[in-house]
Amino acid sequence: MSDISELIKKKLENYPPDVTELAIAAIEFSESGMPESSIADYLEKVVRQIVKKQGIAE
Amino acid sequence: MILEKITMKDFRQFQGIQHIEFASETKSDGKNVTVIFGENGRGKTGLFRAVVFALYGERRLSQDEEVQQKELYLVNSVAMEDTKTYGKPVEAYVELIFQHKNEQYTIKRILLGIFDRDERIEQPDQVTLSHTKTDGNTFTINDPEDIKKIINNILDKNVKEYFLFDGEKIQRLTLASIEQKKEVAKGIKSLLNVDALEKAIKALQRLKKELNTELSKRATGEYAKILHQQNQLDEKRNTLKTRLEEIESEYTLLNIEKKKIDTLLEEYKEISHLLKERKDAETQLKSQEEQAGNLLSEMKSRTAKASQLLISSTIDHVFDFIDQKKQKGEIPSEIRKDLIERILDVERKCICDRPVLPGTPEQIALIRWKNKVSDVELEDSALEMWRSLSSIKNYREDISGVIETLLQRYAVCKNDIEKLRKKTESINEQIGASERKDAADLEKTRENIEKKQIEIEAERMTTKNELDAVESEYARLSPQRKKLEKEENFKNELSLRAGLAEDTYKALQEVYSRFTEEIKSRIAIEANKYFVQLLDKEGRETLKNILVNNDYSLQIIDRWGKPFLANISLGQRQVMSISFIAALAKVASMDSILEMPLFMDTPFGKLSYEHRKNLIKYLPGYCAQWILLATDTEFRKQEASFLREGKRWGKFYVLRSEGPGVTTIQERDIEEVQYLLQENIGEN
Amino acid sequence: MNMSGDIRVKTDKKYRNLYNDLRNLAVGDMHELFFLCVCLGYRAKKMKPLDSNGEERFWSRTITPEEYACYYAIMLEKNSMDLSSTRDDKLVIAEMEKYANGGIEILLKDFLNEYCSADYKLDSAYSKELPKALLYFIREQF
Repeated sequence: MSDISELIKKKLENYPPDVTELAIAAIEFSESGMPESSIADYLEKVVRQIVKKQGIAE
Repeated sequence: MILEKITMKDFRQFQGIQHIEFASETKSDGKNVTVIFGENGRGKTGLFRAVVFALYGERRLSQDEEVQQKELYLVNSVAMEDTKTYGKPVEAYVELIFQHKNEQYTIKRILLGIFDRDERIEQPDQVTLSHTKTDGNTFTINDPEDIKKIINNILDKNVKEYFLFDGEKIQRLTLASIEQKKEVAKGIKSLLNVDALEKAIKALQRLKKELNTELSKRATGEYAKILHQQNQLDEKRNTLKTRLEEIESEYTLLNIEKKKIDTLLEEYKEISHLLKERKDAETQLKSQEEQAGNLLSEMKSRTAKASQLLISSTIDHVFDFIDQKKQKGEIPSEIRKDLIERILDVERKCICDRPVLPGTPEQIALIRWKNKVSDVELEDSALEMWRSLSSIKNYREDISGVIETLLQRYAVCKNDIEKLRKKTESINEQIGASERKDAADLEKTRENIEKKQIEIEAERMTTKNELDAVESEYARLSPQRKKLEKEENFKNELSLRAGLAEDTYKALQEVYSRFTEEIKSRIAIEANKYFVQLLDKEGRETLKNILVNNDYSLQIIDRWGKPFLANISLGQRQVMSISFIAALAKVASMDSILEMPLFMDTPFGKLSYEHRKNLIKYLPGYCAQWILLATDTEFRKQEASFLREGKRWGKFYVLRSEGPGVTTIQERDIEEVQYLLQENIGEN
Repeated sequence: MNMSGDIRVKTDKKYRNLYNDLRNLAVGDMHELFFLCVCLGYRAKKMKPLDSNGEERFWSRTITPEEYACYYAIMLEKNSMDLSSTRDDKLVIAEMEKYANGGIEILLKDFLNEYCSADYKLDSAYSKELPKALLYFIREQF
């Protein structure tokens, strides 16, 4: 992650952990150069994982 | 990224294998300045091109906008000529060794050049990247896509151009045009990775929308209603945000228009007294021309009367004749002719009854009378003629006078017209040949622009209020939504996912907003520090500080608090650009100097003595590596002396021409430099 | 004065364009131009019969009383003050036509000269100041 992104990450620490986790994932995917639509798809998977971790089933 | 060495084979003017080792702090001698010296056309920009080609495979720099792809030949032309004879392709390459975060990288990119009949073809060949990590392990990557990702991660290609300074680039960084601002903003966002942040926010927004849509399909009752409302509000929010951006662009464009008009109006003020004079002269001219026209019409109407003067003597003669007859009582005659004829031919006696016989004295006397008198018709005619001729005679003097007056007045009028025309011509020459719009038109246009701006501002306020209302409403519905989710025990995964996406989106937006404000503020602070250092005395007195606008474009504020960017000199502009880039680099690297080589192509041309001195003194401290490309007229003994004083000058290369299209690179000892350079003339 | 109004006053056919141009540019009406030509012709004692009886130009009813008075005066002077020479308007007009025909030649020769083409059409570039030029010309005759 870039230096700037580290700064953002620090700021995100003030938010709930699941939000921080998703936000950081979003930034990391963006930095990789992926197109926006692909990032959204990947984030969808991340969201599922986070929510599942919280132990709620559909 | 710190450059260590570049090796070129048959690349551009560099025939055969040639290399440059760059001065860099990594070599622990503390020196980071490399000077590459040569006349124009010897290949200085070619070196930067080689770096760009090696890193990104790009043939094109921003200065090549107008040049067609096929004309940007990278393979050395002399080497290419040889292939015609042997029919083998030329293998040209650039190999660049650099360091990044204490790890060494070597990238080599090959280009093949061959003639196909008379057509010159250059074909990219392989590219390899060797990466030696801090633990000493070396990895070699051959996949172009992987190499691209790694290199862009080290230095995004969008920002590379900001680290090559030439005169044009410097100008462009500080121009007022919208396109340039957007370009700068784009590059800055890339460098600071704000680009990535924006992309992340957009991706989350997309995800949120998808999840909410899915959720509203499955939800029921009150909950479905709220979800639907929120989705709609979301759509509206996006529309309003887009409209706000458009409004800002429109407003900026109008400002630019207004500035142009103000400039024209300023010019206009200088010549306004001349324009007034001209207008007066033109009005007078029009009046005189009208008068001349009227005089001609009057002359036309007097021609007949004037013609009478041609036969004045005839008129007088005939008038006198009739007048005499009148005096004598012959016209009208005292005795009527028909009476005399009656007496002579019918009655043969007079009215007194006296006989009138032929041959008698009475008859002879009567015949004499008869001969003297005319008939009634003719007498009447003669009398009428007398009256008309009398009238003509009476105003003869008048008509003569009128003609003289008319002709004189016309002559005066024509003279005045001629004078006024000459005056107008002279004023036009003074005003000059440039296109002039009437000030009134300009003022009107400006007024219209201001009106439009007021309208736009009103629309902006309305849109902003609407947006706030939408956000409010959205926020108001959110707790209701959560409450309903709880009440309905709607703890399914989908709603949680949607909620998480929503919360994360909001969080990232807040962070982004705070972050960009901080960054802009920091860039401005840093830029101002460098600016003050680099400026000459006069600049420090006039210019107060640099501002970074919302769109990352720049403005200079003078000591009276007024925007001053349009008025700064080229030298000051250059200093401002450098300050800005240095600030950008520092902020992007989080207070340490950004590892980026700073290429400066002939930077001194537009700088005053003091600016040059300051630049040479301070710049090596702003960047990790300074590669100075200079011509013999720009880099002379004085500049060399300043550099030596700074003790950061590590390498000196001379580019020499060996013939058409061939340049060799020769390293020279810094101590020898003074023998190669020209004296500076008449400066201090 | 009789001042007949029903006589068709004639000029030479070849001067039709010239009469029209001059009437438009230099004088108010045709009868004024005719009067000028008569005056010029009589003053120079130049009479010229019309070719094949000429071409009708205008009605004698447009001739003003002053013009008629001048025509009669010319007839009287020419005919040793014989009042009867003014009795027949047709004869008077016929004489004036000859003087006018002489007068137009004087106008052409001494005034219009290079501003007229071979077919007696005026050069339009000259036309704007024609009234002034004509007035000057008249003034110079006396």
